[in-house]
Amino acid sequence: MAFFGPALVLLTIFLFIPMILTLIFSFTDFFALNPDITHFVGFENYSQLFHDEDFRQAFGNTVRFMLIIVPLQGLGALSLALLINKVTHCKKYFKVAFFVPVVMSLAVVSTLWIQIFSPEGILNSILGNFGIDPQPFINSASQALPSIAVMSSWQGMGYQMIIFLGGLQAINPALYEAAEMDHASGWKKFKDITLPELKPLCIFVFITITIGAFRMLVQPMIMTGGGPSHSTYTMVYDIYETGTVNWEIGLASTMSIVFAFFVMILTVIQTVVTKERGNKHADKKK
Amino acid sequence: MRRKLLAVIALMLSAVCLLTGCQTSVPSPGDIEGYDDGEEYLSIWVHTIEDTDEGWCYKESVRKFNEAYNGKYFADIEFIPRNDSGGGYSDKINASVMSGGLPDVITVDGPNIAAYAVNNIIQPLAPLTEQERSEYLASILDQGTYNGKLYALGAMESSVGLYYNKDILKSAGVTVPEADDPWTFSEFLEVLEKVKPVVAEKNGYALDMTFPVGEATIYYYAPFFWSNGGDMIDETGLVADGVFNSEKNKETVEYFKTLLDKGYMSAVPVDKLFESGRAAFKFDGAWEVNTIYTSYPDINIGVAPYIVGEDWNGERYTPTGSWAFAATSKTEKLEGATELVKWMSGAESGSLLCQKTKSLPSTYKAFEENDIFRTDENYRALYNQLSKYGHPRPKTPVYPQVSTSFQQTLENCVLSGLDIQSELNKSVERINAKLKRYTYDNE
Amino acid sequence: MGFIELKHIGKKYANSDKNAVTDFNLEIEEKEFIAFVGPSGCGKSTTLRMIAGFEEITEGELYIDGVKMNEVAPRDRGISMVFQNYALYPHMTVEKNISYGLKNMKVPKDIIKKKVDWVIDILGLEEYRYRKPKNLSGGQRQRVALGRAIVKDQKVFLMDEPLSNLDAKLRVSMRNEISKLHRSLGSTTIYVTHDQVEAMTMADRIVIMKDGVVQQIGKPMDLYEHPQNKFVAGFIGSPQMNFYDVTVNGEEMTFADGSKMTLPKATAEKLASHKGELILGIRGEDIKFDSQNIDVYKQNSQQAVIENTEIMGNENNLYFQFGGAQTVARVSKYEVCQMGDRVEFVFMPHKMHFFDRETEMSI
Repeated sequence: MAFFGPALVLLTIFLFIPMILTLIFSFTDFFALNPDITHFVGFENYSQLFHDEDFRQAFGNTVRFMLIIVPLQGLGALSLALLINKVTHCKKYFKVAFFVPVVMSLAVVSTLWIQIFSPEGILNSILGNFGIDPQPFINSASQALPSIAVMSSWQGMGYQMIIFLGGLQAINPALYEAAEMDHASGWKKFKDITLPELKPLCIFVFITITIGAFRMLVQPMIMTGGGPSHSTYTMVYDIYETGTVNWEIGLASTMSIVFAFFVMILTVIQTVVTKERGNKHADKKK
Repeated sequence: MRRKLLAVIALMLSAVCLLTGCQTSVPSPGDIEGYDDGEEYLSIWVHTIEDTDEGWCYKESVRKFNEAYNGKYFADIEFIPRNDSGGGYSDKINASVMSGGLPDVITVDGPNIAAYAVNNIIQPLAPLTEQERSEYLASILDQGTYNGKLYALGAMESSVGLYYNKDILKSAGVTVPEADDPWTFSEFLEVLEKVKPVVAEKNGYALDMTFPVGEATIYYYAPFFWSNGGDMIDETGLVADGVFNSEKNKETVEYFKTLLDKGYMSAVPVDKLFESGRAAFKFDGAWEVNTIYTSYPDINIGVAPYIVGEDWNGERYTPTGSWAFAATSKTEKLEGATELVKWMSGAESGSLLCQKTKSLPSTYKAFEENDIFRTDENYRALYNQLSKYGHPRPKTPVYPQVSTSFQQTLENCVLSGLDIQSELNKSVERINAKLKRYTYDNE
Repeated sequence: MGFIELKHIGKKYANSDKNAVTDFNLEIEEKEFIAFVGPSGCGKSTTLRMIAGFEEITEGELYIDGVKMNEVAPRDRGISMVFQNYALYPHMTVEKNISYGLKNMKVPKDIIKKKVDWVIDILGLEEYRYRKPKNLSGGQRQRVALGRAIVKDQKVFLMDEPLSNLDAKLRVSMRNEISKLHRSLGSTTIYVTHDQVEAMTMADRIVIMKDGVVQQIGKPMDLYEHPQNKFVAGFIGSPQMNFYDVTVNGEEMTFADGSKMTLPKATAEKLASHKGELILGIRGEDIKFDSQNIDVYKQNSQQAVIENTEIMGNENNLYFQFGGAQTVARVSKYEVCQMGDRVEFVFMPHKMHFFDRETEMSI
C-alpha cells in the first residue's frame, strides 16, 4: 500500500480530479475571467454544441484527418517494416533513419515543413522540375489539410514501423519455409502468414494511430493557425481556443467530454470490427 | 507500523503541496533583501522572463522604484514566461483568478483591459492629477480607460508603419506624401499600379501583405476600416450588429479584394518578400525598422503615412496598443499599487525600454529624452503618426472573438472569395454569442 | 548412380572460419530410409537444409534424380519437408493446412479433396479436421505436419527431428507410424535426429556426423558391431559402450588400476603391430555375470562392488568401478544384484573393441 501511495497521489491530482472537474464544468457556463457569475446550465452546452459552426467544422476536419492519416501511416509503417525486414546490410541505419522523425518535436517538424511547403521551398522546386506549377499547399483551403495529414503520417510512421518490425521478427521463420515448400507466392505468404500473425499488432497500431490523429493540434496551430478558412481547425484546437483564448471553460469542458466520448466509440468500433473479421475467418468452414 | 503510515501520509501531503504550488504566506520584512521594516509590500508580475532585454528593463525599474521609495514601499517582482500567443502568462492569471493568488500589480495587454475590467480582475487606479495624466500619450490614456475610468497605464506604445522601399519607389517615379496628407485608397491603387512593373522584374509583388492567424491581422489592418468611417464594435463595447457588418466595412473589405484581384499582392504568403527587396510596400510593426537596420541593411526603408479612406476627415486611425500595468482588484493597497504603476509606466522606465528594446515609449518626456526620434526620420515618422493619429483597438470584453472574426473575414473574403456581406453577418453572430453573458446579467 | 547424390558437399558461413559441414559424400537409393544422426551442432540439420534448398551449398554438388539442384528453388526440387516444430499455419484448420500446397499448385478441387481425405484417413485425423493447431496435442500436430508433407506426392521426404518435441511413449508409437508410412508410400526419406535409437530402429542406413564431418555410413548393425572409431562406438548403443585405457603387451592386457586380462591369440596378433597404449571398448551386454561364462573364462574373471543399480523391469543396469573407469553392465532380470554386492564377471573376449589412443580409430 505504501508503494501505491505516491503514484495514486499523482494520478488523483493530475488525472482523476481534473476529469471529474471537467465533467462538472461541462454542465455550467464557467467563465475563467469571472468565476463568480457561473450558472448551472444543465445540458444546454451539449445541445448547443453541434449548432456551433466552428465546432461542426472542427469535427469534420478531425474526421477528415483521421481518414487520411490512419491508412497512410498504418500502411506506410507496414510497408517500411516489410522492406527493412528484407534488407541485409545497414539494417540498423534504416531503422534509426526512419525513426528519427518520431522523436523530433512536433513544433520543430512543423516549422521545418512550413519551409518545405512554401512557394519557393523544396517540394515546389521538385514539382517544378516536372513542369508542375507551384502549389499553395498549406496556404490553400483545399490542400492544407491533406498536406498536414501527409506530413504527420510521415513523421509518425517510424514508430509503428518499429512495432511492426518487432512483430515480423517474432514470426517463426519455419512458417515461410513451409509455405515455400507449399508453392506459395510472395503475396500469398504475406496474406496467409504475415498478416494473420501480425493481426493483434495491427489492431494496436491502428487504434493508436487513430487516437493520435484525433488529437491533432500542434501542427495546424503552428503551420496554419487552423486556417485557411478553418480548413485545418481541429477539435482539440477548438477546445483550446474556447477555453484558453475565449476563457469559456464551461463550453470547453463540454467539448472535451464529447471528444473523449468519440475517441472511445472509435476505439470500440475498431476493436470489434477487427476481431469480428478474424472470427469470421475461423467460422467459415464449420 | 503506525509511524510508517504517518510518514507516508506526510510525504504524500508535502508532495501534493509542492505539485499544486500551494501559496505560502506573504513574506515578512527581512525575508527578502531590501524589504525593510515599515515598508509596504507590493507584489508585481510581468509577462516576460528575466533573461530578455524587456525583462532586464523591468527589473531595473523595480530596483530604482525601491531606491526612490526606500522606507515607504517595497516592490517584489516575479517573471512569468509566455509564448508567442500570450499563453503561459494568461494561463497563470486565469489560474490565480480562480485560486485567489493574484499579486498587487499585473501587466495586461492593451486589448484585454476591457475584459479584465468588466470581469473584476483589475480595479480603477487611484486618481491621477491633471499634470500626471498629461505626461502620457493620448492613446495610452485612451487604451487604459474603460467606462470612463482609468485602469491601466502602459510603459510602451506601438505603431504600424506603411514601409516602403526607397529604391523601388524612386525607379517607379513615386513620391511619398506628407504625414498629414496621406494617400487615399484610390490614390494608393494608382501608386501600386506604377510600382508593379518595377517589382515584376524582381519576381516580386507591389505589396507584401498577408492575413496571418492571430492578433497581427486586426492590429495591422483595422485602420483601413477606421479611416473609412467604420468600426468593429460600438463605444459601449457591447453592440456589434450594424457596426461590424456595416456598408462601409463591406466597402473596405472589397478594397482588400481589389488589391488581390489586381495582382498587387500574392495570394500565398511569400517569406521575406519585402526584406529581400522584392516588394515595394509592407505594413508591419515598429520593430520592423530595427529589423531592417540590423539584419537587412541593403534595404533603404522609409515610412509613408498610413493610407486612408476617401472620406477621411483627419480623425484618429493608426494602430496602437501594448502591454500596460494595472492594479488587481484583489489588492487593498491601491495607493501603493498606483504609485508602482505610475513608476513602471513613467518616462524613466519607458526610456529604458526604448533604448534596450527599441519600442516606442508612452510618455512625451521619454520621446524628448531619446534622440533617435529626432535624428532618425523613420522613428520620427512613427512617433508623429502615433501621437497625432493613434487609435486604440476595439475596447470590448469579447475582444478575442472580435480579433478572430476580423482575421477570418479578411481571409475568407479576400483569399477564399466568399461573399462579403454574409461573412460579416456571420462574424456578428459569433460576436453576439460571446456578448450574451454581458448583456443579460452583469456585475 | 544413386537417386540422390551428395558430392563433396560443404558449408561455410561468411562470418566464421570453421566449416559447418565438410566433404559430405553420400549416394542414396530410391525408397531408402537414411538417418543423419549425431550430437547437437554436428551439421546434420545444416546438411538436410542444404538438400532442401534453404541453405546455400558453398561447396560440392547435389543431384536429385540426375538433375543438379544447387541453384534450384526448394519448391522445384520435388521435396517435401517436415519441420522440427511442425510450422503448421496457425490460423488455418487441419484441413486447410494440408490442402494449402495443392491449392497453390492449382490442382483441381476434386483431386485436392480426394488426396486430403486420403491423408486425413491414413493419419487418423478425421476427428480434428476443422480444428486449428492451437487446439491440437503434440502428437496430433506432428501428424498434421506429416500429412502436409505426404499429400503432395513428392519423391523425397525430409524430416528434421520431427519427434524430438514429443514425450517418450508418443515417440515410440510415432516411430512405428513413420516407418509404416515410409513403407506404404515407397518414398525416399532422409531423417535427421540426435536420438540414436530412432536412427537404429527406423533407418536402412545411418550417417553419423560429428563437427561437420561424416564419421561413418552404414547399416545399423554394421555401425553397432563394427564402429570405425571411438565416437561412433560410444554414440551408438544404449547403455553407452565402456571405455578403458589399457596397455597391451603380447597377450597380456593391463588396466589402469592394475587388473589384468589375457587376450585370445588372434586378438593379440591383430594388436601386435600397434603400440601398447590402447583404448579398450566393450558393451554393457558383453560383460557376463552368469556362472557358465565365468567358468569358461575363469582365468580372466574380475571382481567389483556394485555402486548403483537401475532396475528397468526386463533388464537391469549395474554400475561399478573397474579398470580405472566407471563401468555399466547390462544384465537380464534374473541376475539380481544389490548395491554393495561383490560380484564376479568376465569380459567376452571376442566382443572387445580396440581403438588407437591418439587417433581413436578402431583397430
